[in-house]
Amino acid sequence: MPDHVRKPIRAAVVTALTVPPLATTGNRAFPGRVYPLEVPELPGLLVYTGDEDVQTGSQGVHGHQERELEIFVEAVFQDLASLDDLGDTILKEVETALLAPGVPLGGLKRLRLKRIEHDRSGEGEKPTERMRMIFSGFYQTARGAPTTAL
Amino acid sequence: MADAVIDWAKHARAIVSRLGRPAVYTPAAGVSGSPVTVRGIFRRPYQRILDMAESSDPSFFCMVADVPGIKGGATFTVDAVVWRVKPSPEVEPVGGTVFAKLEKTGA
Repeated sequence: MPDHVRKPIRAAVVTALTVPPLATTGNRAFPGRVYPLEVPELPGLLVYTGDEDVQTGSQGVHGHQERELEIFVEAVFQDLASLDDLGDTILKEVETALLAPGVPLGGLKRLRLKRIEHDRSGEGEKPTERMRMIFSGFYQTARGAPTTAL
Repeated sequence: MADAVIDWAKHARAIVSRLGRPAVYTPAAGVSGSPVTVRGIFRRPYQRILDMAESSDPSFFCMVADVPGIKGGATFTVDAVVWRVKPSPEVEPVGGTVFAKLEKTGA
């Protein structure tokens, strides 16, 4: 059975972030990663989907479902000099890779950057930051047919 | 009966001497003194940072008298690797010891 549309959306986001590789994070984009990144995997990106709002479209009971999906791209990185500067560079590269016109996004009709959150720590061998870039992606499916984006 | 006086510094130095290893201590900028070899306990246990990054929690434990004026920015060179002291190393006055958390200085 084909996959829910969320899966090709996630795959498209990972592809956009790795082909071609970004200057800072290279091909280190990890979908669905729950285990800590090792030092050789830094700086790296964690890609995962989150909450989703689903509304029935204007065409009534048998109409389309309009879906707004949270997509998280979370950068994990360390720097001795400036976490702010490195974070801004990564943000620039991710925004460019995902939001430039014409980027294929696996069925999304539109994508926007909604919010950026930061956690940082001075523990460990180097200052470390998790920068969470929260995107909102909009797509549509027919009711009962979540494997096909309209 | 007079309370026994325990020479904690003497005990601490015995521990550091027995269990420690040599390191070159270099004072921070603005602190007088030249690099000197001291003996201390260097540890580098595993640590997970922000739940998603693997790292270690390096530290150096030695006698305060051996590293006068120690503060953030000083360095310990252990096995040819230079580690920088993080701000506010913990000085323990009774035993005369200092516990310094460390960070890397390079890649």
